[in-house]
Amino acid sequence: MAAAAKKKTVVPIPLYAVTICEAVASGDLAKMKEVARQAEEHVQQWGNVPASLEALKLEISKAQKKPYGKS
Amino acid sequence: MAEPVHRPARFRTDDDFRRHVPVHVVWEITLACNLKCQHCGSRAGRPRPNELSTEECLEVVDQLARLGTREISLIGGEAYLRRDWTEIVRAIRGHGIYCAMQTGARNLTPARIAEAAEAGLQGIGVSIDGLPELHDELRGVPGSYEMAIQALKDAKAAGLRTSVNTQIGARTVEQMPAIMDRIIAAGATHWQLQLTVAMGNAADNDALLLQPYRLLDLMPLLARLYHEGMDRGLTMIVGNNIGYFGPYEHFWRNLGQESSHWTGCSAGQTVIGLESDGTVKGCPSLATVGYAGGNIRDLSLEEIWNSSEAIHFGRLRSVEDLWGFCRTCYYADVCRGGCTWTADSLFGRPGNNPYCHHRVLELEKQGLRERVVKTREAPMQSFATGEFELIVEPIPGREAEAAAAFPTTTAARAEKVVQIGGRKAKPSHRSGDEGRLPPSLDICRACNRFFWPGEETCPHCGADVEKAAAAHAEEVRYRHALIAEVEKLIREARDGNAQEPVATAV
Repeated sequence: MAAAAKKKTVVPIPLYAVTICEAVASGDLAKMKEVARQAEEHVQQWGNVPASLEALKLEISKAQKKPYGKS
Repeated sequence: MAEPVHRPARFRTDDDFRRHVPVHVVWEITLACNLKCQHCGSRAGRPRPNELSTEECLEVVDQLARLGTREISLIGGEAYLRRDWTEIVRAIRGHGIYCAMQTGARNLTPARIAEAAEAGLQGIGVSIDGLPELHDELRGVPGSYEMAIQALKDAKAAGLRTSVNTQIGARTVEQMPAIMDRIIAAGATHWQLQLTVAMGNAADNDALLLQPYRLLDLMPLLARLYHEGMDRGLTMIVGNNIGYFGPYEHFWRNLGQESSHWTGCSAGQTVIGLESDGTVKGCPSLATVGYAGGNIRDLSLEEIWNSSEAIHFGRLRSVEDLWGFCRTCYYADVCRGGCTWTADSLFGRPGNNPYCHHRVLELEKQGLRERVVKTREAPMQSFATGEFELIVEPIPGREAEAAAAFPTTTAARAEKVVQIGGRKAKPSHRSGDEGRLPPSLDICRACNRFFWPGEETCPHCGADVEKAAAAHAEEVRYRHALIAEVEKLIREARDGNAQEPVATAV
């Protein structure tokens, strides 16, 4: 645990300079979107849309709405 | 979830903070510039009269390598107007340090790009501040927008990582969606946003500045564009003067680390700014007067980095140095007044930053808003600042609502803003010469806003944070199971043994 804490990584806050070109957004939302995108490529092959893909899209929708909050 | 495949050089570890490693260096290698930007903080144009020689630059590179630097951004002026700039790039890459260049891209020809790529340049950031008409007006050169877009395409064709920086001023906001469309079409994969700061030419042309209260409209817009960009292959990265701790904080900083948040100005802690005459600062954007820690012609970079108080302010600052709203803000000790450059350029000292979403929202609850008004011009020097007054006033149309909360005297109004800041700030923890680790906040899973560890009830939405965390954990479990199931279906489809899809079992 202590060793892991020592290696904790902190994401930098970009200065006015070239941005962090290697960085990608991460987390569940990004992952769900990527998986949904890949799945869409196979929809024709499946004949109809799998229930799990539909459920995934619903989760994406919920996750995107949540951060918008009151604003 | 899976870790990103590659960890950017600029990501910092606790050891970097403890040992004060200058992980990222932003280096103005010349002040010569071929644009005439109305918002240029350094008033670039002519080279400084005493810019470092090639030999001195190469020695700087060696010294940075010894200090542990992992990434160098070359800026100007225009970095490529120095004849020896690819020699500097080659020296940087020779030490295995990541090297990229920020540019306005006027006359950045394919030949220049190819030469830089051959020298080892790895990335290029092009500044685009509006649609063609606005961009050309701001940059002071007709056709500069088209040249910037073309450079982006040429750099991508040359195999460089390509990104765009956009400064957001008063007139940029409405154009943001269209700018995003265009830079995606030009092949940009990353888009960094900054607010225009009242320094140098921007202080002269203060009508360009976004008024702080406009964050109420800007931040939801950026949140929408963030998600749209993600769907279209563009990663939005908000810069150091956009924030802080509002309802979108949890995804602004989410670049490989979930639940990352703003951790305060990093000037002089893990970053260095170098001016082309050898002046060393804790951040490239800060004013020279007051923030120059020394010159590498007088002392070694290592000596300046390790001994200059002007460099160390970021390491030593605590809530005691904050004032105004920021002084008693709930986030004071982690935020420390946001971007030093932004606040210092307005008021001549850091520690009170009206460009803050959390602050704007707290004021809005009271029917109040803030704007800045110039009271003194900036001198004509590079990185010079003027002076601005902070005006607190009722939001138009909400005068009656604001009246009860809005004192009539200036002094009372200033006091009131401090009160709206809210809570008693957490004490700072500092320990000798060892670097200060950034505080880490927890996230309320009911409203996605951050709170200090130890809170039982979210200070923002009133939720029981433990219960919210448990509900979120269940939600995450469900999502992960869904992802796994769909990934399994994809694998089966790719393997050619797709079966009739079944109802989800998760």
